[in-house]
Amino acid sequence: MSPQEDRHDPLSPSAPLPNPAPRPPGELEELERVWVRPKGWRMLSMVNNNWIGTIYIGMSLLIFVLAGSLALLMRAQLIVPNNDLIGYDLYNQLFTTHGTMMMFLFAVPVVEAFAVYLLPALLGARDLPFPRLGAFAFWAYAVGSLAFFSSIFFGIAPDGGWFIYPPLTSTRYSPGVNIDMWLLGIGFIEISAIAGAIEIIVGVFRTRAPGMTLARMPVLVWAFLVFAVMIVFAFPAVIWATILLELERAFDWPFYIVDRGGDPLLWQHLFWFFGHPEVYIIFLPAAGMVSMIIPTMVGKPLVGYGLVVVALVATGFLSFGLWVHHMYATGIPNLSLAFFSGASFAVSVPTGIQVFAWIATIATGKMRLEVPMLFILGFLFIFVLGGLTGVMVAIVPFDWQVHDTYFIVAHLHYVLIGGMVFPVFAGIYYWAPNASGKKMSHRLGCWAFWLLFIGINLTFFPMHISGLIGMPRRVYTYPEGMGLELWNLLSTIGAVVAAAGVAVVLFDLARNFRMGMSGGGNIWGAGTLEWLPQGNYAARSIPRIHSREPLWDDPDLADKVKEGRYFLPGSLTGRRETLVTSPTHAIPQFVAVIGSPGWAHLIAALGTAGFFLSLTFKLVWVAGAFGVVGFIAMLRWVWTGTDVGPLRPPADIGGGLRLPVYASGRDSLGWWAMLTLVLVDSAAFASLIFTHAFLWLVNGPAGWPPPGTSLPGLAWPLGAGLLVLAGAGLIWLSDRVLRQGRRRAMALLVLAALVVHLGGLVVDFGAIWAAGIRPTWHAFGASVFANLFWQGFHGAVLLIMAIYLAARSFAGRLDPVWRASFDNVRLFWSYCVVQALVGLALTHLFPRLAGGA
Amino acid sequence: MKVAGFSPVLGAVSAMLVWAAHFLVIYTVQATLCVRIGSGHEVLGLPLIPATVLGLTAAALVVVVIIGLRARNRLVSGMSGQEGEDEPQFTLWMTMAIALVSALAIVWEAVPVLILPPCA
Repeated sequence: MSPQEDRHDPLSPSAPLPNPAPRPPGELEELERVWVRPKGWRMLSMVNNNWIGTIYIGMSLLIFVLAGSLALLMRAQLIVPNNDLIGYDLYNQLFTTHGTMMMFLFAVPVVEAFAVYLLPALLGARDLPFPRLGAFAFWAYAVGSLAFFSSIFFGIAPDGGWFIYPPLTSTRYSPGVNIDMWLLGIGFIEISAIAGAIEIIVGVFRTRAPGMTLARMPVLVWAFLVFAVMIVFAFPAVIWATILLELERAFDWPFYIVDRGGDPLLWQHLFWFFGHPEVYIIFLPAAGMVSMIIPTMVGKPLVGYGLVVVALVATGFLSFGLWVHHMYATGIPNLSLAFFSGASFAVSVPTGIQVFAWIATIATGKMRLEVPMLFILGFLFIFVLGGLTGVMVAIVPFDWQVHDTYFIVAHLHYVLIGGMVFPVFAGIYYWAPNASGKKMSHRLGCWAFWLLFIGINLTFFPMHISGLIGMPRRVYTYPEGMGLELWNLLSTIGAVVAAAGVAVVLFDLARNFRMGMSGGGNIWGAGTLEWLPQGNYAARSIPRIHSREPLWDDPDLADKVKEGRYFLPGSLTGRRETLVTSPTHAIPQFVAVIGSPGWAHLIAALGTAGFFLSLTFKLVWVAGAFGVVGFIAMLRWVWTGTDVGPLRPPADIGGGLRLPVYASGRDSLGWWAMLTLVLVDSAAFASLIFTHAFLWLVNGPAGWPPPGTSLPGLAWPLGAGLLVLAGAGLIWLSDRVLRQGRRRAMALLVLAALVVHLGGLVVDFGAIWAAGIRPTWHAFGASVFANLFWQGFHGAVLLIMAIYLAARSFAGRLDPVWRASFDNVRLFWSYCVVQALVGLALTHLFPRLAGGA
Repeated sequence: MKVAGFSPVLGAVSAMLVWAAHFLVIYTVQATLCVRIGSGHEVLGLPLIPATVLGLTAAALVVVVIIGLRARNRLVSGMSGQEGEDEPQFTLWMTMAIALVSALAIVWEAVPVLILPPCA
């Protein structure tokens, strides 16, 4: 392209600024009006990412403190041998609740909270693509996690270890509600984590500032992206495992009961398929924070940006090949273990790349020893030590020696505290001025760092030794005379010192952090967009990006953005909007209207939390009431807050770019969210397939199905499959009809498709029932019925979707252009058809081909 | 104005998808054959399980090498020939680098089959 042509491309560096100055009177006031934050008690209805993100971070820190206080109780119990301060029953609840809260309710949510706060600013977007979904995820998490923690005061907290292994957690050995508290209480919070992940993925791919190609994304954005994709594929496995265990506990479906063809190792496979990636889910965003803070503190770009990105992506993938390294002591053949051992070594390569990139970056510039940098240095020291013991326990024979000892407790805390908590504290000190406009105290920060650094090392280093001496994990006391006294005493003293460090951070926050959206300017002299002047609407105008550190390359950028010289300096529709760009090149495509403050998502969150918590206590009617309230609120949220249609013709956003203010089909944000949800769904279905295959392997061909069980004739699944396909055909036809503008015909076809699809599921269920297969007799029947349950659940979702589409059609909210809702349902429907057909093959063909049927 | 879709991103991670498929298949094949058949069987005079795992490894490596070389050729025939901030240079460079990591991981995981008994 010639320089002359280049000037006509509004994204070109040589093109004039997209909008002239001064801006028309009233434009800024209108933008402020649209993005105003509700005040007083109406704050509960707010959705602005900067406020929700900040409160979200505060909530996760509260959980960190609560879970940490449980750890202090445990250390108090272990300070001397034969201590009777805490009994074994409460101790079991303490370590289970501590681990569960730290892993599920602090580590993942705090990272999502940072993403909610930072991501739009890093990308130059106005907000996240689905602000109400982000607020929903926060409220569900806040209510659920506090309720979960409260269970310890009533003696009903879970007590089976944070990974809840059956058979210890089966009804036979854990008949109380403690385990249900974990299964239902944590289960739905995982759903909120997935909601956050969907938001992050769509946000990263579709709401970047124009010109921010993939190579110009800040490393933290890459880390958030990998983190979110990992949640999409990892969390469904534990959700599925949870569903199976709850089905076993509530209805006696024997997935994990050996006597009836089940196997407890199934839980371990499913749990650790989630559990190991979880470590990297926690670590990678923290590493992303490190990759942001170090360049700012040394005033030089990150060395090896591309290699660090490759390392993040590679770690995300390889971490899924490590799950069995938590199962070295379960009797799996040595060669299988070696595959996982190899993967465990392989994953250290990309992690090493990142560590060397950080060290090289530090070497290129002059380091400022501010508080965030202190925490980064502490991170490097502690995390590298944790990584080294990680390489040790990746060696199978060594792991056998230290399995279930305090050596493992030491290793995992070095990795998690070094790899995650220190970077998060660095992040708090680094980004707090972004929200409050003021640095936190350097003096208090130094105190906090040294107390934490000394306290953590003093707590956990002696555990390596007590573990090597032979002290097992999860014991509430230990005898005298085994050489354990000194190491436990040191650990307890260290825990108190570390707690003092956390207290100093909280004191510093209380004294020096006040949320104010004016922003304090680019306090650290950073190069990335989150340091642009921010309001409730984020940046006044959305800049075009030509490098990785735009604030370093164009010192006037902040002023020009604030003057409204770049894209979309006002509101086009009088509603909240964000600019949507293409996934790789970040070329502007359209302006999307996004969610504004409301109550429906809040009530939906409370209803969802109430539903699951009531179910825990088997309060079925109360749960039903919460469920109905939550469901109605969700419907209202979706009806009023999504797919608002083309509110106006295409409009100028600056630089001569005229963009539509609505999109449907593959361009729309909703379609991307639905596609991500389908990936989540397919990951859960893959776990279902794994369950079936694993139990087949355990029972052998002759036991699959078990003797005395016969399958229905093939005509039945064939008929069911044809009905499901016929439903898909009707959906295809309804699309054609909608294109012609025949709304009511479309609605009737969708309803007909629903009837046919559900008919297929009913035929399958009837045939299996008539054949005499029951879910309680054997793991085969349980697995078959789990498949039916899953297909039935999707059938119920399709029922709601079909009726919703029909209602929109009759309300005049669907037409050949205004059709994003239809396109999203069609995508989900297509997935359900494929899933149903594979499910039929799994139940009816697999035992015939590979089993004894 | 040209608007690229999502495919460059999928292309960039395709070698890792091959790694994932290889890992899943060798683990599944080894576990299933050990439980169902045992370690004594041979194919073409070679022990069945090691031969199968090595065959699958060779196939995966061929695919990964092709992915990496195609990306390299496109990168070299393109503008800069190295990592850049514009597209498609960056995703092509990423494709190549990820192919290299994937190849290493595939080899690393398969090597134990040459050392350890298949089913012990």
